[in-house]
Amino acid sequence: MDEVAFARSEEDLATLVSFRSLVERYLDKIPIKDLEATAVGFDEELWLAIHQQGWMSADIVDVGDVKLRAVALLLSVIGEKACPGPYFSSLSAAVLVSILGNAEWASPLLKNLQKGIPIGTVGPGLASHELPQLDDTSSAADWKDPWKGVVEWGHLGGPAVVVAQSGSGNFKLVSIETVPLNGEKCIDAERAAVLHLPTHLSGKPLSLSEAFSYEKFHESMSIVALLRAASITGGLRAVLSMTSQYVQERQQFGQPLAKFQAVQHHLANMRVETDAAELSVSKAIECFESGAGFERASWIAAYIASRSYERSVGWATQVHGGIGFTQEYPLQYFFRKARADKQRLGTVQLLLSRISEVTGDGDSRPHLYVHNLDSGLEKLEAGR
Amino acid sequence: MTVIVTKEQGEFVESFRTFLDQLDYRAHGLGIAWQEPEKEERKWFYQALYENGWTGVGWPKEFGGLGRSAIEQWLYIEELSYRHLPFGGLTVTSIGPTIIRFGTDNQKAELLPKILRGDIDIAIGYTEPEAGSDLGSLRCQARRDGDVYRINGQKIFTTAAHYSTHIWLAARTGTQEARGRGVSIILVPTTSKGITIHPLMTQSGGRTNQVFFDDVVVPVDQRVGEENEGWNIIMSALSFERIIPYGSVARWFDLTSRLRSKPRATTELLEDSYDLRAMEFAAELEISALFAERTAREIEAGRVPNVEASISKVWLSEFRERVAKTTLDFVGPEGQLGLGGDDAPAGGIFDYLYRLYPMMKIGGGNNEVQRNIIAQRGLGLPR
Repeated sequence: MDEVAFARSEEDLATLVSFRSLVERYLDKIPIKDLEATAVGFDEELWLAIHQQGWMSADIVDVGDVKLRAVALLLSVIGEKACPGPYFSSLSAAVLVSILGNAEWASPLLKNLQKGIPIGTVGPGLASHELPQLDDTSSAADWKDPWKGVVEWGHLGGPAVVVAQSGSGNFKLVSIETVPLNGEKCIDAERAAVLHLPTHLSGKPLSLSEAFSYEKFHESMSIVALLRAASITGGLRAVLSMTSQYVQERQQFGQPLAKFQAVQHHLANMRVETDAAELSVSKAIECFESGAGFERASWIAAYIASRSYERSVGWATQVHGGIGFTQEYPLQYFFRKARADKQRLGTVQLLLSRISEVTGDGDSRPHLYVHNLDSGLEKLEAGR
Repeated sequence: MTVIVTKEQGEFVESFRTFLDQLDYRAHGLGIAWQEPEKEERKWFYQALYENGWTGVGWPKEFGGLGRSAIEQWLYIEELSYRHLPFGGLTVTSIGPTIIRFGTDNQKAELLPKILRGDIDIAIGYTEPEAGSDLGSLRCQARRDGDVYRINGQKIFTTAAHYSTHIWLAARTGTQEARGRGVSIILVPTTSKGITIHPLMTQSGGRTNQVFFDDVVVPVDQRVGEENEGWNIIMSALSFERIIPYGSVARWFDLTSRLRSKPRATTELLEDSYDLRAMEFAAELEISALFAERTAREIEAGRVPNVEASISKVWLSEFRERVAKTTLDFVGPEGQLGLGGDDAPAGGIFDYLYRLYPMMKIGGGNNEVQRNIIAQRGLGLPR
């Protein structure tokens, strides 16, 4: 398996190796095919082991302190293994809560996650006007209209964090209990539930974050989209790796498939797409860490990665021939996941319009930034 | 795209941008995408760069260069590319550094200062009618005759030969069977007796050339590197031109965005639905920039980015095709008005982009060969 473009430091590489080996150990025992057939749909032992080893601890996500690169690396491994479970939903919810919630509100949710209680999320992938709307005139903080939407792994009984519209164009996070919900199978090996929000919750208290602006909403949604893109890059690497291996082993007309130029060109296309996705994720993380604006880079990463993933699994399936189409062969998980992840990011129109919201000053030359010891990151403007 | 640079690199680029802003190059007919600069205009520009200390960015200081990093070279080329200005072509970016590496002391002393001043322009003479992607089969022969070579044969697609002072000729000095191992590089003055340069006009309006060599006599000391070892030089020269700037496409994108915000009075130039496609292009443009940056950073780290450059080339050239076609799709009947007409949208740039895009996928090693490189060197698939 090729290494991950956004694993830069020794620490990143150690994270990658260690987390990957943990996931592989459990998937060796119960393959995805068997997990998919179980009632719960994921490996609860792996989930617990991940928590016990501190992979969702305050070292990774705490209130106001997100190690975005580390979270991206973990999700990239989950994507690489097409490992089903509430990993993405919980980690992305934790990141949202950490960024948008104050300590008093966010800490209990994060502490629960650290104990192994999964969190669902409602909101990412939706346009702001599609979000449920709080009735700010009611002291009980009810919903203005009935609403329903999909919560990934929302049937597990943990809390769900709902991104909601509040008054005056602001937004709030709302923490609600999700039981009882009916878990449904997704296009891929994941599960999701449909959450119905009635108008009035008959006295059941909702836990609300403080209000935040549209800009903050846009910024936080871009981070969730970036994390999805990071997870997708894992899938892209896995598909490229398994397909490269397959074409070198499979013999037809007395030679490996890899000798045929038409086959080589499909593989070359997959490499181009994989690199495009990885570089875009890498750039967005770099922008986030350095304090440069990261929203545009994040939305671009999400758009490109999801598009690349679907293209790549298409070529991979073509090159594999019939065997890639069977349930016996792991490629089908990635084929299905590429489409499901695209759905989870929202419509293509939404993604592209998100990019347009942060598409800049009509000057597409490189925007240069310099680290300044006194004032942090400084944007250079001369000559533009 | 956001690029984090060092203070020194940032100041270098800012100064260069400011210098170009103050240079009235448009008055000299430069800075127009579809207009190939005349020899005199080109010379004026290179002189201006030279006199103000903006030439030979990546060359070592001992040879008159600025000794700047690969990142600065990349950003410098991007700036020129964005403004549709000539950047010394391969003479400065590729041939100069190759002479520094393989040339004799006399060649360095004689040629390098002239290259920096813009006194010398060198056209690449590799491709032949029967040797395109398969360069190892080239036939143009340089036969040793005492202290001279006698050159006979033909080259094609020798772009810039008509205004260049020299041709960087890949000639067969060994046997045909030796393929790449029987090739030498000879610097041939275009004023040599026996050279005939015929124009070959392209569908985009640009000119390339056929060059015929009829018993052309060139002193042996015009050979660069050892006899029959030209293949290494060709490969080395190619590695210096690995950064593929996205600037000219970025300029197109910015221009189109401005058109969108100011629809023409007579017709809605681009429809609303184009906006989403434009964002798709914004994302793809960003990837073009990321690929260029990666290539520069690979060079900066001391690696030769073969696969990375091939990926960059495939992506950018095919992106150009998409933008050329899609933009015209949205322009409608007005888009049929061609380059040079008074009413052509955006002065005819869409027409120009459409006619030009195939060359971007063919020139510099066609995209099929690039995909072979990606598959074989990048993924380890068999040759």
